[in-house]
Amino acid sequence: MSLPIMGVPDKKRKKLTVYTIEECINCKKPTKREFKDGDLVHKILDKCKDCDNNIMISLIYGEEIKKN
Amino acid sequence: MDLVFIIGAGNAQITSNPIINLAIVYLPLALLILYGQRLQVWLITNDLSKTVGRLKEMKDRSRQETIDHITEGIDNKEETIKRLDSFLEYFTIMPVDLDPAGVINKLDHIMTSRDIRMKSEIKQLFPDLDKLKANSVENVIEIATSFNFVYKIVRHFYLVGKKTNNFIILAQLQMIIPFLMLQADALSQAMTTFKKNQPVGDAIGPMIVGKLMLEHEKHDIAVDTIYAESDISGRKAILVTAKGPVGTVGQPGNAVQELIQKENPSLLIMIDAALRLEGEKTGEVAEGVGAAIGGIGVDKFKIEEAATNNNIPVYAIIVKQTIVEAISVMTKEIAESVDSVHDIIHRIIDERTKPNDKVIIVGVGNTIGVIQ
Ligand SMILES: [Zn+2]
Repeated sequence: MSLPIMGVPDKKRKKLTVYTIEECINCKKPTKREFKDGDLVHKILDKCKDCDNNIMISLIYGEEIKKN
Repeated sequence: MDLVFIIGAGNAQITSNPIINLAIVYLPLALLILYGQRLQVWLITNDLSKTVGRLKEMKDRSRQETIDHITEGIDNKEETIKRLDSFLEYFTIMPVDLDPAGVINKLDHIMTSRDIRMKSEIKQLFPDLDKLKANSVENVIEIATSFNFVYKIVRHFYLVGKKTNNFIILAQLQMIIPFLMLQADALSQAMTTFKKNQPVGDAIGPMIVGKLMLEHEKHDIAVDTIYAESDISGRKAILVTAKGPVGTVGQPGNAVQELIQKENPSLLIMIDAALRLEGEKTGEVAEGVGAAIGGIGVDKFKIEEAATNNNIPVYAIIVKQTIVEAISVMTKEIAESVDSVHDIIHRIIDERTKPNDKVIIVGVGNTIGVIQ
């Protein structure tokens, strides 16, 4: 990490839910699901139903759940 | 009784009764003059004791979490806990810098020996762990050690201030404690993330470069560091990053040094997470020049030296985030910066290099949870 500048703490701590985004490497259709143990970014999962190419985990991120 | 206020008459009087005046105005005034600082010391001590207590709670919880994580499925729990407690007290003595020439090499040597020792002791303690789990154990112990250190320093100044009734020491501690609590908070969130091998905010550099590396052959170039060759707009791109998915930053300094020697590139691009200023947005991407790399300075020194000696411009692309975001699970805003950084890389390469040039692109950061 560059630029070691300290910030100040946030008053309220954000509660994040971790999601995994899977994407077929050919048809690029993303699906979003909750994170499971063993998920890693760029990990190859099973075949795509539509085109028989590999499905890859493209992103793993935490997102704040918005209450409506 | 009627209250008469006489202001500006040379003496502050609340009532006409001199005894009550004395009790209400002069006595408290005298007490505050004589004991004001003691009162403040008392207030600050009270405030600090609560914070130190909270910090202790957090530290104990991190120790317990570490124990739970590392003794998972292990029979000899007692022995392991004893070893963990000795790990928590591990320290590193920085080299003397009175004569600064060559201090980077000494620093490099000390940090490398520290890493090797830590790794081999964990290997000895848990010989059956696979690489991913062993690394997560190492990271979790490291976090618990930092926690222990922060707590001990805060406690030290708190106790010194309290023992000597020193208002200045206590006031200084009170001033910096919000920043230390921020660090403590970041560490406790980091613990959860590193236990599950989820990518952290700092993993954005390895993730951006790792995506470019997919489906290209990877070669080892330094400890925990790999490179791959690829073609970007007709230029030879040499992609460097730490080797995931274990949580490591690798040795980008050694890797870049060697690759500059070998390939003589015309441009070096570095991608890293950077701490954002208050008011800036998380996930914002910015461009600049210079070696975008943190740490204690060994890798930065090596990269700057190699680039300067070979007259190679160093371009930096950073993704902004807070310290908490950098070491806890990557947020959506950070993760979604991947494509915009790829666009910037392409633009820089198109504008600043000629076809058939060589470009080194380094993804700096902890590559936890990211495969290349
Ligand atoms: Zn498909």
